[in-house]
Amino acid sequence: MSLTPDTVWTLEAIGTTWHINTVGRLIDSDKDIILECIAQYDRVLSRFLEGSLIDRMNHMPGTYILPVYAQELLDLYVQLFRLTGGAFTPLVGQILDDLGYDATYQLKKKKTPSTPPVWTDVAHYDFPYLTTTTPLLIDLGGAGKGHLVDLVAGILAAKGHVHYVVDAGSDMMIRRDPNTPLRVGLEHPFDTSQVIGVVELASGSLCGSSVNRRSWGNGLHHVIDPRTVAPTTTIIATWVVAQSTMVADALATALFLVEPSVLQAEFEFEYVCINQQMQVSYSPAMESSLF
Amino acid sequence: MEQGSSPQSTGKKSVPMSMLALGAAVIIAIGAIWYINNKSEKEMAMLPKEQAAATTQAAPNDAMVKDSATGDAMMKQGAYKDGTYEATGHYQSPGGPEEIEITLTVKDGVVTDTTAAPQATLPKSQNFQGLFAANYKSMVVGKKLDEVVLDKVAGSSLTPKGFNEAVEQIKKEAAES
Repeated sequence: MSLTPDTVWTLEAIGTTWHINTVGRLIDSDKDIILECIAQYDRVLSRFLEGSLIDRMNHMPGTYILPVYAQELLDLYVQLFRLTGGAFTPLVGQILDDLGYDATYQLKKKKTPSTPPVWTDVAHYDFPYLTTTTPLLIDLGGAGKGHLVDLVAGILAAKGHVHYVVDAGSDMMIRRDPNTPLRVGLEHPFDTSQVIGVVELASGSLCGSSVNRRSWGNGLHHVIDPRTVAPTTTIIATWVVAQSTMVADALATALFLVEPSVLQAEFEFEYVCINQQMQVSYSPAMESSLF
Repeated sequence: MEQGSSPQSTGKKSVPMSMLALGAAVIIAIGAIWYINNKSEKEMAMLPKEQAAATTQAAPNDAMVKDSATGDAMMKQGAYKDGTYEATGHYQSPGGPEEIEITLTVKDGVVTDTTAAPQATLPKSQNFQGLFAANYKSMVVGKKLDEVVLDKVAGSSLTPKGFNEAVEQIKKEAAES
């Protein structure tokens, strides 16, 4: 029996607004499980929380044991690091921090960032172990939010939910009846009262990434290119549809750094990208979604 | 994953005024190049960028008049050496002066290719230049939210709340200093 997930639970977590749609209200104990899942993920993997695993790695090299759920995330980072020739790296954390996007949101350049070390030179990853040879400020924001959406969706599925939408600030996992797909507008990068297209999705993950909102100064925004040691300048917005929100999130970030064809070698996904001149490129299946 | 086609019809859109204005600017630039070529009796050569810029510099309104004069020049064929010609078109946008670079390719006396490379620095100009310069298919077209039936909007990951407050603080400090 398929029903539209019309009941929405709205919450604030990891600095963004979540909307979780289910068929019928979630019971309190299920909400608690979800909240604890999010809190734990943040406690361990946040670049901003004192005492997190990431924070400890930034103070002391050594061998760290990663939680079970981090395996697929680190595996993805390793794969994308290789595929993008190092452009997609967890080591953008220090650059972001130097440019002011730190735990206190100073948002002023603190020092001139330098080229980050090559990930494979300073970190040895063999799950569950991550061994670092020097203090490293790792940032998993490129795929972490999408990954957390998948984990929360997994809890809903484990509790018997078939149809739901888990949306964390525009990174979303959709499970709807094929006859009633979700219609998601693609926000115009320069004018938030407009959309440049509509994606209809019944089953899958959609992530959007844009540099217009999270920017704090002349050219300073949160998508860093480690090759230039600075925020990217060509692409200004991307959207990816993929089978998991973790992958959609990672690829939406990676598309700021490399051409889609680089990623298409090992990932199946659909995309829309907009550059500085407001030209749009897209995978063939997305043509009908654009105005 | 499943994707249906949009229930909205995707018919032809009417050409916005901004596009016409840009289109005029480029025709002017192209026309100006032909006008110069027509006047010169020397062999055709690559136009130095500065020279081209000087001759094409004009407010769109002034150049409109020239356009009809050079219309004839554009129609003449056969007298021009094959090659690629560059010019920089200047125009006044409401936000300030902007440039657009035009390249023409001539083969067998006919213009076989033109490209326009936006040089805009102001976001609104970038918007318009992009609309003009892009391959028509890869143009971004916006529609107001209330024109479209939507369940959600996906854009930038919504900005962290603390972040917004921090930006406001910086703006305040900047205003006070």
